[in-house]
Order: sequence, then C-alpha cells, then structure tokens
Amino acid sequence: MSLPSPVPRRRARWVGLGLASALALGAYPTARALDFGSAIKLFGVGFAVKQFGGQINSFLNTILAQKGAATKDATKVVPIISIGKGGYIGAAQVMGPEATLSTVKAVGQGELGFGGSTFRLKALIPINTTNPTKGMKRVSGVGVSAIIDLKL
Amino acid sequence: MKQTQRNPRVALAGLGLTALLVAPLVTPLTPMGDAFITRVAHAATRARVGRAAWDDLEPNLRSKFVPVLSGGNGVRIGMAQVTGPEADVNDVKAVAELETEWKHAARARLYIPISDLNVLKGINRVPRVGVSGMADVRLKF
Repeated sequence: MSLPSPVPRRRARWVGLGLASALALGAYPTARALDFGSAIKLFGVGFAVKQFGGQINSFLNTILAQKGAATKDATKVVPIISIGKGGYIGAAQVMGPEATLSTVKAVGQGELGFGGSTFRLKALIPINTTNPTKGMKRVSGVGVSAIIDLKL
Repeated sequence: MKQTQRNPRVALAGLGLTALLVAPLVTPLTPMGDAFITRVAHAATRARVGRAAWDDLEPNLRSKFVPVLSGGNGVRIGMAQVTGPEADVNDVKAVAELETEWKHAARARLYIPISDLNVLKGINRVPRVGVSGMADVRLKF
C-alpha cells in the first residue's frame, strides 16, 4: 500500500527548482567577493591574473603617473610562465603598441644560474601563447615594465 | 578597498642614494658585462628556452644591459636588459626599480628605463623601451 505524498509531485518539482535558484543566487555574491588570494588558491594563477589583471594594471599605471613616469604605450598584465619547467609562476605588466600588445598572452621566463648560483640570468620574453610547450613566438616590440610577485 | 604602497619619499631617497653610489661603479663595467651577458644569454636561451626567445627580434630593435637602481627595501646591484627602437635604447642609462604592494596580495616591482641617473631631480623615462631580461649577482659578505 502506497502512502499519499505530502507534497504533490508537480509542486515538489517547483520547490526543487526554487531551492536550486536560491542556492545559485546565494553563491553569486560569494563568487563576486572572491579575493585575489582565494582566486589563486581555488582556481590557479592563470585565472586570478585574468580576473584581477585589469585592476592591477590600473593600480600600477596610477603609481607610475604619481611618480611622473607614466608610459605613453598601452599596458596590460599577463601571467609569467616558466619555459623550462612549465606552469604559471607570477604575473608581469607588459607595454608596447596596442596592436602588438593584444597578441601577447604571457611572458615566458627562462632562468639560468652559474658560478654556484652567484650569477643569475633571467630572460623575460613576451609570447603569443599560454602553452609554450606547443610552440611559441616572441612578440617583438613589447617589453616588460613590471614584475608582480603573488602572495599565497 | 585600501591600496597600500611604500613611502614614496623613502623610496626616492633610496633610489637617489643608490644612483649616486652605485652607478659610477657599475656603469664603466656595463659594456664589457653587456657583451658577456648577451653572449651567455644567447647560448643559454638557445639551449633552454628555444630559438623563439631571441631570434625573432626585429632588425630595427636593439637591446643592451644597463644597471638597475633599486629604491625599495634594501639595495641590490643588478642589471637589466632593455629592448626597444635603437634611438631610444641608446638614451637609456639605467633602469629604476620601484617597489609597491597591491592590496596586500601582490608585490610589484616596476622597471622604468631612465635617461638621467640623477633621479632626485625626477624620473626621466625613456619611451618605447621595456625590460627583456634581468641579471643579478648575489653578494656574499
């Protein structure tokens, strides 16, 4: 013998839908309020730089303007990728002509130490991809104007 | 949200002091150091980074090594490779380094190619020139 359901099936469907919407809407402000540190921990450096790169770029340009050293070129913030080991290791502000700058997706970093690590050499190369293992091309005419160390 | 930065007066004073003390010592070494570092960089990056790193530089662009004058926490001696149009790169005497912090979440080091070592008069930025490499020597006492 089956007992009658306390909530009719059709109404239960609507209640479920409402609950799901409420949960989704409740989570939205949390996602919006995600700070930089949490974004790095949860989603990685690439995502954090994509989300907050614009804010960091404006901040750096403001600092430069205050010091009387503003650049006339276009700027943007992109992730730094270790070319030898792979993976995101930080962020950099790059500057250059707007058309060229739009093709820059990351800065590739190659590092070399010798003399018992007394002498350290670091190449910073604006590249056209975030996946240098599949082939990359240097974006000529674009330079690095700031290096950003991310705090975890 | 509150954005923090280091005291600009302290940073500028540090920068000026570094410029006055370190630049005369380092600058005469840079042509020799530049040739050496560039040669090593070419060899190293060809082996490790791949041909794309250096071989795609356009013919009208030039790069050279200059001293880095830091004005943040402490004083370090380093060199930076700057790249840009030849006429502009020729004007670069050093790279000024300024440190700042963004929302306690990131520390940024700003690199400004300058044409005048006396930064106490103000920062004289060379346009269209950016940093393409860094080299530093760890000093042991």
